[in-house]
Amino acid sequence: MTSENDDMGLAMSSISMFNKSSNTSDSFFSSCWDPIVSQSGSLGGSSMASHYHLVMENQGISGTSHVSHYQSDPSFVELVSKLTGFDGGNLSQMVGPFSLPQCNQVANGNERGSTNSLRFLDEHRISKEALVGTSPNGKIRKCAPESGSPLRSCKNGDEEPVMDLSSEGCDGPREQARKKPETEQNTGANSRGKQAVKQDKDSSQSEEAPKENYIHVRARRGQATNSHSLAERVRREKISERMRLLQELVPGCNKITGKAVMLDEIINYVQSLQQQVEFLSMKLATVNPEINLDLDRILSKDILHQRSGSAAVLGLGPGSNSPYGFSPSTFPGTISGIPNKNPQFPPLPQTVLENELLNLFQMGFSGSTMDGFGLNGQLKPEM
Amino acid sequence: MEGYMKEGRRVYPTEPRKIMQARFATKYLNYLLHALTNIGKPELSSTLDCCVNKEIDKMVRYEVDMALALSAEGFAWSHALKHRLRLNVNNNNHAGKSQSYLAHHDDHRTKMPVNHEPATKKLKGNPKRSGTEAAVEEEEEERLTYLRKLIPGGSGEMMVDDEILLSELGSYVTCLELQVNVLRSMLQLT
Repeated sequence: MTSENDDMGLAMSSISMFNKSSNTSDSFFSSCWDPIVSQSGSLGGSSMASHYHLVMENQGISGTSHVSHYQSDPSFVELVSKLTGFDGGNLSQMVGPFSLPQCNQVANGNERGSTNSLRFLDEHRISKEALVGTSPNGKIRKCAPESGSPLRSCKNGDEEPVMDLSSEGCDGPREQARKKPETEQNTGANSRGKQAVKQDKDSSQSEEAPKENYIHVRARRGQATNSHSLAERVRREKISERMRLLQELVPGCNKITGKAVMLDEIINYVQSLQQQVEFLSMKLATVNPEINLDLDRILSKDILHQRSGSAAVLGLGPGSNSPYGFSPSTFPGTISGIPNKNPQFPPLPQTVLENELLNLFQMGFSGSTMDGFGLNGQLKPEM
Repeated sequence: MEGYMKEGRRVYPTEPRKIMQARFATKYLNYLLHALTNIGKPELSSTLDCCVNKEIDKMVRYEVDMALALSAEGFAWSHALKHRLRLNVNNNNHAGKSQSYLAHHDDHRTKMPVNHEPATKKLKGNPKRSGTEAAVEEEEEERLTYLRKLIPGGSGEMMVDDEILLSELGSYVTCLELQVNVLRSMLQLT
């Protein structure tokens, strides 16, 4: 209850702001009521006032109580009538100099994070048909930005002045964590919204991905714009991208087209690798008593020079990209860090071993024919 | 080249994946060599003579797997592998049986040839059926589930998503290859 009162307090303060200032607060107030509008799904040509009242009655989510309070507010009716008189130019002017953090505050103040503030403006400007078209999607659009991102949909071509100024200010709430299902819903909603805008134009505008934390997906011409199918398409593309990467890893799979055959090859390859590991480990177990000798021999540089060919494979896997979560973190600490983890290891041979390992790698790098990787040019000395 | 051999200086390639591969191989070799020298110590003289070879095999295999898991931190499969290894060790300690680890591992490995053949037979035996989309998807699903058995932790909750499974597969394959290379080099040096 107290939180609801807080919401009301914030909203009430916003209303009082409205009474004092003129245009800017109008837009502010209208923006705060966007969730109600988008929920109604009935923004036809009739007067807005009646629609707002309808909307408030229909609103059945937690904000009902404070909505009803607003209903009784006389200033609200004034604002509604003012809203009907908005046009595009005024909107952009109003939104532009408007201080967005306030918008965000109220947006975040609402319990449900109902913050499609400027989205309403966008919709209002687009067309009424488009609005009706997008209204059934209002639910999805509503659920998605619960983290409080008011200006997500302002990436419309029509709203450029709005976008530039508002996107800067709203980076705060937009930076909140987004879950994957939200992303998929967002992509669905956004693409639908965009299609509504661009119904007349067939131009494919570039999506402004860098300002967002998730991916905009345009529905292609002639393809279903169902949110599920779009999310499915994104997922399929990601999976096929992974399959391509795997194809590069597994040798001899360049000519294979088809997921099933590719998976077959991967299975075979993994099995063969595992069998090799098992075989090698058994072989290692048989020579294990001589492992001390191995150490001594490793430490002698003659072996290293002789075995430069075999050492070349040390540390050099197949020449391919491996973007699988490898993060080059504290490298210098790695080599020295390992012995410290296990205190039972004798310290003395380790330092020598490290140097010899370094030798091995250098041998490997110089002897490698895979990348033409020379010691001279491309290695970077690390202090 | 001598200049690079100074104490405290390391030479690394500029490509990040080479860095990671080298790092993996270093860790792996470090760990495994030291673990193997510990195995070679006379601590094992208390075990039965008939079981010595199996014990050593088992322990070497354990250390090989553990080296893999520890050298490639940060992957779901490495975490699962570590977990499985520790569970097996606990089982061994509590039950006092030396066979449980091997038995578990054998099950894991014998699954491979047995389950895989029906999949390929299905592909070859029903060319008409494989033309339909549903059948193809079914095959793919079969193969994916089979892959889940191969990769450690594939049936777990971390890899329910296909995307994640495929990326984990990529890292697993890379690390397996590196592991094989390291082991081969170690053996060649003897």
